[in-house]
Amino acid sequence: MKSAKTLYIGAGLLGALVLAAIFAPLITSFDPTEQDLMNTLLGPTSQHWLGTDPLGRDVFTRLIYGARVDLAIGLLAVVLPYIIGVSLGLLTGWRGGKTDSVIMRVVDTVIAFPFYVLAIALVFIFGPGIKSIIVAITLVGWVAYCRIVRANVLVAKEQDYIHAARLTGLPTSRILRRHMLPNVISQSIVFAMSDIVLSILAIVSLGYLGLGVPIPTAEWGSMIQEGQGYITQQWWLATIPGLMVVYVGFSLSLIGDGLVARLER
Amino acid sequence: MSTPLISVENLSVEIKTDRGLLKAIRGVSFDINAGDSIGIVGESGSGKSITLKAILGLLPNNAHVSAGKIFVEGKDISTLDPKSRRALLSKNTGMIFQDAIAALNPVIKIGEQISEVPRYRLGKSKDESKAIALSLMEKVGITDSESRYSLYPHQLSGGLRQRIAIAIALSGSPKILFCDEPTTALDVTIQAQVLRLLNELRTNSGLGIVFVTHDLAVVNELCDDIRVMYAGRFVESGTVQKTFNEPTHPYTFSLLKAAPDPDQSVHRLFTISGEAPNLTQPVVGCPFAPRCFSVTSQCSESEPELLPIAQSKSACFNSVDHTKWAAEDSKEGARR
Amino acid sequence: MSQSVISAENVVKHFTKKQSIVDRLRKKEAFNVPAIDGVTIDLRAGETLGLVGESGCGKSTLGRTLVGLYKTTAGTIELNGKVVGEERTLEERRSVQMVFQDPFSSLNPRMTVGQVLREAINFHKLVPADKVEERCQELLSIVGLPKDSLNSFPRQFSGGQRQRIGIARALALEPKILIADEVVSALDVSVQASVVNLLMDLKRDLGLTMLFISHNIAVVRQVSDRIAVMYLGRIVEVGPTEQVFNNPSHPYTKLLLSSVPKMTSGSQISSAPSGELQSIKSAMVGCRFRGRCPVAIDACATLDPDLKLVEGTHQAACLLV
Repeated sequence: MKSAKTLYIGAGLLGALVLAAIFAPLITSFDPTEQDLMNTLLGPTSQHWLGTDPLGRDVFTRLIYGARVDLAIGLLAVVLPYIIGVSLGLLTGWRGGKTDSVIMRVVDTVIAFPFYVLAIALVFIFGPGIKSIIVAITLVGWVAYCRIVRANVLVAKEQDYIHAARLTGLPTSRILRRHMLPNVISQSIVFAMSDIVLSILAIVSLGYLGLGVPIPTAEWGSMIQEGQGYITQQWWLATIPGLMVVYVGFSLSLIGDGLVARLER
Repeated sequence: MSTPLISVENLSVEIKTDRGLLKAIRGVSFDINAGDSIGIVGESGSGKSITLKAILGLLPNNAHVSAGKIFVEGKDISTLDPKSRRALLSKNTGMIFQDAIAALNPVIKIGEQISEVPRYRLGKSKDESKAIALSLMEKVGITDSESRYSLYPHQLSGGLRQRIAIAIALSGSPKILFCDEPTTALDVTIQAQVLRLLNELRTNSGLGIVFVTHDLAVVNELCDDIRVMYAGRFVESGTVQKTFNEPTHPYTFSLLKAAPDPDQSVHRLFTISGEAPNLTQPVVGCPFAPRCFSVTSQCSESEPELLPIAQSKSACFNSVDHTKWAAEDSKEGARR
Repeated sequence: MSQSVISAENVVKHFTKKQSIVDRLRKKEAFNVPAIDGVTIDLRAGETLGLVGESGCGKSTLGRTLVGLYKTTAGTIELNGKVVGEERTLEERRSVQMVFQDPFSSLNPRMTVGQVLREAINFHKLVPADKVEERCQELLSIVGLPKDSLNSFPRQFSGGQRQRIGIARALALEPKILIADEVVSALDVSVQASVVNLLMDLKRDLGLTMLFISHNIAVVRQVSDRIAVMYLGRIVEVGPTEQVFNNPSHPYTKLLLSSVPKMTSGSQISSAPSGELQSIKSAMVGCRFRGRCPVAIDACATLDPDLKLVEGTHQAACLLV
């Protein structure tokens, strides 16, 4: 069921989370890193809506503050690959010939690379933290956009309206920017939606492996890692952060579907 | 008069589209006998292709017959179970389509595709089927049939593919061949060959032909009878001879005049203003009225029936008046 | 004799099939498809030249090469007597424009009619900034589109209207030469007529020189002053329309004209000789048409005829002329 409605629902769901993350201090009075060793591993109470973790920190607070980290990095991690990938895709699709051969061989090589191996290697070089994650995702993430856009460019290139633009005498940069780009970009936008989720998953996974953001910072991945030992009793400690990822993924896919419906109108 | 082989009575077809329920066919009736050669002419959106598909049971999923009956060999096919219906139709009819490459299976050799019907439906042996296939290939004018038997569709040109499609259609010895714009995508010299083949099959084997096209000239060359279709109905019905010389319906008249004549050049082509009506909306009055030069107030009130007039049939309130239309013709000339 | 506005001299256009690295290492010869193989043609000011032929004859390729979408493999193209270089100047580009066949793919789905027209006008600064809107309205009225079309997207128009938009776009550049590449082939008969009439009006009112490419012989006859017939990359016959139609001199032209179904009563499905359009590869020696020619002689297998005079300006490339 694709319609503009799904766009609004998805945007609403995600928007609610974003607003919560931005206005976190207004929503919860706790500090996400403040420990309270007298009140560890509590279940949901009127004070602590989702209970506390092994170090007495309020789970709900850590969840909301964690959203800041994960959403921000998720978005940031997609922006650079998007720009690089789309630009290269446009270029190589339009030029063809040797340019295309070279770039596509690079694409093939990068795709063959295992992402997590690269991420771990970068962590060793730069140390754990946001920087390594973003560099790793950028190095690997641009290829998908490049391929998607290139495929659409190859098709659009043969359309008569592009020929007409050439006949008008317009310079190539203008043809690519004004005529080609709007017509080849919709698939990449939709893919970007799911890519944000994939990036969040990557961060969460790295966080789980202890290679993500530094320890005290609230982040869903490290929350899962810390909570896994208590899975039999306080199962929500590990599960709820995971559910947040699902929530984000779901709302992004609704946005993606809605965008498809609108763009293809 | 013996029972017609196929009889269509008041057929109506509706199609579900994004923009609503499209009444693609709104009450079409005609008879088809073996040996007939009927051309159904119309522009895009007239419903001509859907008519064929409805008769042969090839309607897409979003379309259904909403009214009317189809009789084959005197039997109402809606009363038959699917198996008997298919058996009855396949015994009597064959069909060829516009795009031969889509009608042929790309991974099966063409000879085998032609021998499919004799082998699997008529129960002939492998050798017999091959012999039948080879003779059919010769019949449709494919030279070197032995060696070409083992070719694949993509190895043939458009004209040859269409001949193969005709051979397959003929493999069940049908009495009537339905053709849905089979030559539209072909070059004009190849089209001439295919038309000549169809004509030969008609005169030599008594094959009946129902030919759907937008090209009036093709109908003139191939068919004896013509049905002109507009907005889902027949607006004129008659012999090709009569209709081309003295069309009774204003749409037919306009269409004949608008089609450029390869034998002479005029200063200005006759045009038909406006567009075909949107059939998702109910039709009020005659659907051609907004574009008709012969329109009167009666035309917007009710839709005219297809009634006999001067050895043809026409769905128009305003009677044949060739002097009036000749005057209209010279008015057009003065505007040039 | 009026001056030639655009001409092609022995133009050749090959499309090279892409070679894999393995083939290149093996130094295998590149496979060339000569879409046009030595065409010499010219258009004179104010005339409409009809270009006919069947699929694979190269007429579309010739049109696109003349308009500058393809570069020539060999031969020269002249505009107003001046040879056109590898890259055309902006002026040269502007003076030859094309209208395309497919009403759906010839317009950018994401630009409004107004945006397309304004872009063309503004880029070449054809009209002072305060007169641009007026010019757009003028173009709309020339092609017969409603006044409020400027803010609409192509999908809101019918096929015939889209072709008019395409014509308006071409005219916006104020070209001297218009190349119409099968512009009415995708339209219904009733719509075809109005677009053809429009082109004829433009020719008369704006003095446009036009190359009308079509496989529809009947339409070409209405529109053209002269007509050229192409077969497998060559022009086989050329001359004033009435002369070519009344006295077709090349066997292919005769075949073509006799194959066209007639509107007048009486079926005359001709005795069209059999034979498919040959693949270009096989027809490289001697006359290209000899495989299908009913009157071929021995010499046709070895000699490739040039255009020879039939009468006046009517020429045909056949040894028997």
